[in-house]
Amino acid sequence: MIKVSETENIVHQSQVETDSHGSKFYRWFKPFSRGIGMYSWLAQRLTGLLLIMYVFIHFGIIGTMLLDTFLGFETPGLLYNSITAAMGSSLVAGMGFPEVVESMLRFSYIIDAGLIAALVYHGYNGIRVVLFDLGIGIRKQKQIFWILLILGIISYILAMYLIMIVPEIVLAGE
Amino acid sequence: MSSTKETKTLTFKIKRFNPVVDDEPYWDTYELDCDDGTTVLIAIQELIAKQDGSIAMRYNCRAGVCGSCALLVNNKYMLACETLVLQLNKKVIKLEPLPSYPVIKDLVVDMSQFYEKLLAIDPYLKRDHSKDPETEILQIPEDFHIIEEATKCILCGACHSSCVSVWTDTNYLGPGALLKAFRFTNDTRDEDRRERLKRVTSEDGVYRCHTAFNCVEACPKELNPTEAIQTLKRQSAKQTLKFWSRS
Amino acid sequence: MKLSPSQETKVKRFIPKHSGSSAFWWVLQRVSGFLVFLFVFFHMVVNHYLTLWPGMESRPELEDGIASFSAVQWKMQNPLYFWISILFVVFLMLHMLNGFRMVVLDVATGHSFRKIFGILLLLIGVLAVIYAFTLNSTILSLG
Ligand code: HEM
Ligand code: HEM
Ligand code: SF4
Ligand code: FES
Repeated sequence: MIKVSETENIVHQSQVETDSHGSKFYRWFKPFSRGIGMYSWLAQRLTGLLLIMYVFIHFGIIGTMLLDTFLGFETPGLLYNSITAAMGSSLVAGMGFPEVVESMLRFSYIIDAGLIAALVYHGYNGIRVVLFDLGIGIRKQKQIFWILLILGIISYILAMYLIMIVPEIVLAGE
Repeated sequence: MSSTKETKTLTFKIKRFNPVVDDEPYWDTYELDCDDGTTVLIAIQELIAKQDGSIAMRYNCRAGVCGSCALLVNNKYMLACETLVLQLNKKVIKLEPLPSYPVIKDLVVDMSQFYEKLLAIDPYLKRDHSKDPETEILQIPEDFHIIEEATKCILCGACHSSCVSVWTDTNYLGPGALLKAFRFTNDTRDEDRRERLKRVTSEDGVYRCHTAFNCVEACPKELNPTEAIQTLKRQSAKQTLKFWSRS
Repeated sequence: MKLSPSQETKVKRFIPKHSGSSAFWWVLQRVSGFLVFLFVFFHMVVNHYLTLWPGMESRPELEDGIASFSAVQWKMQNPLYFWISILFVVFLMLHMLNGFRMVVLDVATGHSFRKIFGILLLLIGVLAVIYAFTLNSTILSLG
């Protein structure tokens, strides 16, 4: 016969190992009883981590401004200028696309499109979180999310429009 | 309320698991005739009585006050005794135990971590009882209004089960205990506010909350633990960062 | 209320021994987030939209582009811009490293690990600020 204390042990061990819903942070991605509040937080986290990666890459690239000098070349900044110029050149140059498409399909624009989307989302949702921390609008969190998302989309379109179009106008005008 | 006895045959899918004998949880399917008075709890009782006596389920009051029957019904947190099956408008009704608690058997989970966290915030009025009046300690309605909603919690543990921070950090106090902490910290009759705020001020206290609102989504009593936690965060930060007036 | 000894040890686990500076970092994450919002806005204007200002397109420093080496050099000559850049890095590092700490502390609960990890992040932050300062002043000195 098994002593009572022993059965307790058996039950406890298997309980811990086979919690019937999987364990730990995999549950973040399991869709049950969720609202927009949960997804907005998850997206806040993902965009935050993406932005961290971007910042480190960004620091690497702006660091090349000094590389020429450290390597002993005469013209400072040439390397940095060529890297950014290469990133800003069209990915489909000479492939017979219309000029507009060619100018929009640049590596730097594609990076910017993703980066600014992440940044705008994270920033606006960050403002939403700060509002709740000040005690404002906690019971209207879903409405506030959608309002800020619409504002974010408008800002995003405006930002991308300015990035893609405005320098072009300036160049065309010269 | 319609008095016509509408009956429908519904399918119940119940997640079964007995950790002593089973390696993995599995699903059992049952058919049951339900009318517009059948609650999820009544349905389970009928299944136990007429079809399968081995299903385990916990309940007490059958009236939404004891908090022992919280379940995941079709992926939503609900009290089995308060949920009418026909109002779910589904042919198949999926019943699961509360996620993130260890399963004892079938729909019964081990909620000790929830209760232990509750005890850790001292869930009772603390004051110098020697100065208490002979009769009850009075409170004006405005003061009670601050904590009125929080006093309605029935300790069903649904919020704790739904919380993203509880899932990863087992030491996190969780929305249930923190709602209780809010209820006593902001009770004007309580005299232990400073110590109470200290209790929730830590990386595993209020600041582990990420305002994902899962607890609000989960609470079958439609309370708002997030709002309570946010208030505690502000009160705790105010007290902690005022180092010049710390005793 | 009286607890049994075994219950008491379990409950004690949830009473914080180290409240540490959790409240401080919580406030700082909000404040730095808000400031980074303003700094990033400024950063975007300076590095993408500068030519919206009249007269800017004819500046010789911007000939190679708004974010080219000569453009950065020219901007850095303004001490206000120089110090705003440094402050940007300071608050960005506070925000982003503390944000990363929040993510990691969600899954790592050991007290000593948390402490060492915090110190490590602080170190990375200080190094990043030193890097930015060196970068900015060297760019300036090359001009
Ligand atoms: C643009 C302005 C920004 C604002 C207003 C902002 C605001 C916030 C706020 C309020 C939080 C706390 C979220 C929470 O407690 O759940 C947060 C978290 C975070 N932020 Fe930001 N932030 C901004 C920019 C950035 C940038 C540029 C980065 C990265 C380089 C970043 C990285 C993070 C990370 C990693 C977290 C932690 C995410 C989490 O714990 O879920 N943020 N931000
Ligand atoms: C997408 C367009 C961006 C462009 C073209 C750009 C361009 C630049 C350039 C040219 C610099 C050199 C130094 C200066 O002007 O201050 C710089 C520095 C910097 N950028 Fe950006 N940036 C962009 C986006 C971002 C974003 C989204 C962040 C933050 C989340 C950021 C953070 C920084 C930081 C921290 C520095 C260092 C400042 C210093 O060294 O003083 N940048 N950026
Ligand atoms: S707050 Fe709601 S979900 Fe949480 S224990 Fe109380 S009644 Fe249940
Ligand atoms: S049985 Fe008491 S709340 Fe459902």
